[in-house]
Amino acid sequence: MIVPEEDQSSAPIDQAGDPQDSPADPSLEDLRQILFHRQIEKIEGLEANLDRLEHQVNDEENLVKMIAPVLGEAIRLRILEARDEIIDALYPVIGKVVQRAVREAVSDLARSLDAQVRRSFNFRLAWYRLRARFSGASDAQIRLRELLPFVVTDVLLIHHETGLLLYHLTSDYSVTSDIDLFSGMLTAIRDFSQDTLGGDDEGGLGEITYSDQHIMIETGRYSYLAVIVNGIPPPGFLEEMREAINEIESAHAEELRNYQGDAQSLAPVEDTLRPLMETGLPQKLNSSQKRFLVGAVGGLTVLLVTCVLFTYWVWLLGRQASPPVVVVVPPTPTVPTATLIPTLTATPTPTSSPTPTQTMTPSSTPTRLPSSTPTIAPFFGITLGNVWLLTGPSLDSPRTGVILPLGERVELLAQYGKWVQVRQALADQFSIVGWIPARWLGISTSIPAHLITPTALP
Amino acid sequence: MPDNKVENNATINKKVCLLGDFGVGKTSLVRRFVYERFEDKYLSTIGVKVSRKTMLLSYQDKLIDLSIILWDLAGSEEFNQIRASYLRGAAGIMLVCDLTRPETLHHLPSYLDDMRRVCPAADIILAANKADLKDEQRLSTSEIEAYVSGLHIPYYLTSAKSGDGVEAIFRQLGHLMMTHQL
Repeated sequence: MIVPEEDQSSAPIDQAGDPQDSPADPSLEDLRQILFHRQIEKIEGLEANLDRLEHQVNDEENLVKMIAPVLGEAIRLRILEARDEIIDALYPVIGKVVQRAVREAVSDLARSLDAQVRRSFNFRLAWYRLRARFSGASDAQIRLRELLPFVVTDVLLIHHETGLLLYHLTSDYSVTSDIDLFSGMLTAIRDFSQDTLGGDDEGGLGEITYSDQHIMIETGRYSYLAVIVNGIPPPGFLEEMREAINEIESAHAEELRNYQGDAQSLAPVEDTLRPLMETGLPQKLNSSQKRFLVGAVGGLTVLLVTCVLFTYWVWLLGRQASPPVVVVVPPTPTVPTATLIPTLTATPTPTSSPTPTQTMTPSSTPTRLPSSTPTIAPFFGITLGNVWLLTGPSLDSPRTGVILPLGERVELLAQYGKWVQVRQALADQFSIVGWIPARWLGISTSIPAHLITPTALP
Repeated sequence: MPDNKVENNATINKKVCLLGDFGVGKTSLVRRFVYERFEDKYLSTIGVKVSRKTMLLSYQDKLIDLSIILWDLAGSEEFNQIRASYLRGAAGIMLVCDLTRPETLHHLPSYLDDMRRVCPAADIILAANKADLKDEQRLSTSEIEAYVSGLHIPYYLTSAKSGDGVEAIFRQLGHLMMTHQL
């Protein structure tokens, strides 16, 4: 600090050398006030400003409010002046952040799709699931793949040197109106890029992209393959192209080397190129997949037939157990029964003696003789109301379709619990047998014991 | 002509390049003769424009569909380096000069050098163009004949404006190429 000379000369000096600590002389203080009051006021003002600034700096909220407008403008100006430098500086950070965000978004999408697919069912989703099982991908990946369209519109085999079209496969989606000119210009563009950018004969332009359309190029020694696609090619598609061009060049090396403009001899290349054309279309099943499907369908068919047969068998059993029968009941004749009674009978035995003689030899062979046995008289009852005739002794049993009218005289055949089996006589010696609740049958006497079946079902 | 296509005709494709100085009328000859789809801007951008013409030719009792893919090469010097690449695989070369500019004939040997280096077996024909501008002609037929006699190549006086000689010269070139082919 520079002190005016008059200050140094006029200020008294104490033992410590400090001119300000001399309370003994108030006049000096007055003199100081008179001489330095302006500087003192300035110093006090500066100190107040410093305090305020210190307060603002320490108060973060205030600091942000204060510098935000200036900072924003400064950044804006800096970006305008040095956009590329800013991008270069930010890319390592922002690029990774963006990549991570995109990756997470795609993962979220896949998870969401997966969950949605698993929760719902329809035939299309079932097909996705089947394909997923075959391919090893998740349902969501298969579905996502479906959402990313890929269509091969044209496959062109072009002679490397002349640019002449050797073979062309096209689809309904083709966008090229004159494929000969297209192949010529494409070759010219390849030559141009190769000459200007450099590279060997087998390198060069690999892909041309315009909007969603791509011309994917794979070069061989004498020819190159240009495939026009729409959408995102599946992994391995370029490898397929490479294999195709290698196969063609191996099989037709002589024709391609000495190509004179006649492409007829190259017609067989269609077999090699056709699979490329069908990429992205629903995949045909290979032999093992076909076998699996045939086996599955066969198994299901056998299972279905077995189920049907089993159901039919169960139904038959049930029907046999309690058939709603209409039986022919003959009139009740006295049935002759056979009894075994040994009797002595004379049997003539011829002999071949010169002097034939007839002798009677008794034998003990039993013979059947009819004899009559007593039969049990039928037991009848009268229905006490209009009642369904059922096929079994329970309300769950099917109905026979017959309602016994009130007052009908029926023959009681058996009793099982609270049910009785009865026979209703119909016209022409027919009758129908079924079950009714015992309470609907009026009987005059108790049911004979032999008709009661206490345990077993009839 | 292509509409008279006979069933089972053999179809042959050939690449033909047009060579000559800037402004001699190569593009006009092509425009007069062929079906074209691409705009001329390609000539100034990559130095070439491809067009196509199909002709039905009769040769040795055979009918042939000849599809000529015409590569119209830019004559400006900026494409001198790349021209050789475009010439690769050409079966025919049409040299074009301007009858009103003698130097366009004198520059043809440099194009021929390129051609002989890249496609020495190609058939060559010369089109002396702008024959309709009779008052402005500065090249005589004797000069042209003297030039082509040394090369043993045919020549035609053509006019892209009137169409004179255009069909004939392309047809002649087609015959030359087919003679090579068969």
